[in-house]
Amino acid sequence: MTDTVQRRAALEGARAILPLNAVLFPLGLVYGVTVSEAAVDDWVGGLASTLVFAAAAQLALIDLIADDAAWITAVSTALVINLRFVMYSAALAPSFAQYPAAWRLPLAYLMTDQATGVSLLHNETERDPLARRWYYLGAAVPLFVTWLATTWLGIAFGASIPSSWELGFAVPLTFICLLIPSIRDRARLVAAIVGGVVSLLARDAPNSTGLLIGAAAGVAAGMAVDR
Amino acid sequence: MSPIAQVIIVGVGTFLMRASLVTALAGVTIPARVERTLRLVAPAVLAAIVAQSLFLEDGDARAPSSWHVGGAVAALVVWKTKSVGIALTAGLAAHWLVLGAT
Repeated sequence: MTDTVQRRAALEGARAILPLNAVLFPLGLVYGVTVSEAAVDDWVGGLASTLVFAAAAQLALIDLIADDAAWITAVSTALVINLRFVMYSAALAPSFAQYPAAWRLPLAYLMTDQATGVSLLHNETERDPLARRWYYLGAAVPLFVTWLATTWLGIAFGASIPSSWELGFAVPLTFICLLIPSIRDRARLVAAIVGGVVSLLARDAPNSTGLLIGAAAGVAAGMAVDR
Repeated sequence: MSPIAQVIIVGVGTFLMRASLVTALAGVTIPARVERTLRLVAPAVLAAIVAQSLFLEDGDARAPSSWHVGGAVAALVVWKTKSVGIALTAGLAAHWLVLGAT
């Protein structure tokens, strides 16, 4: 009986994540190619998929390491990108509180934008903690497997792509595709515009800190117009 | 610091943020003011990365190129379709079309 609940919930989660999972193919390949082009050992870039498991942060980190940025800048930038997980953690906390303690850390490790998104939607109608937990798992695991597979594929075959294709463009390209959907109101629009402009003005700041200066200015400006 | 050490720090820090409010701090509610601020972080930092990687080349302004065209196409497509997959493909296609034509 419970077996059926778990199976059904996991399959439902996997089905909901399918279209979002498809996006990881180009994204994972782009990351893998970026690693193979950067002066970063392939195994380091590949291991990051397991250790960090967050596309945007991994891409920014590898890009900054390749640009010889100071380690504190590279690490801070990647961590700031991942600050959103604190928000997701807050949003998922009520449902996680109903799960067995031993499940919480592994499920937290698998937390992604996509799995959080579909799970929060599912939680609105599903009240059974068992079904909620397996739905989350069914959504999160395919993302993890796909991310590992596509990033390692990109790393393996990235080196054979000629440099005349200018695949370095994949970095701004990916971040544009993440940026535009994140602008969902006026305050966020202001944060983005000010963040971008100030980071350009601060481009000569030491240790590539222009990025963080721009981001801080953007957040401050967004707060100022947020009513 | 070696690249692997940087990856490990980011990995541990990211895991702590993921686990923060669902484990150790379960039951703690983030003040609304903090949550409103947190939502601004992603657009601000992503825009800063886009600006620097798209408009700068080795610290100077990037000359007009396929990068700008591809970036504009991707931005327009992701805004209209809301599909990251389609936008990535369209942006890359535009980049290569212009690159091949010049």
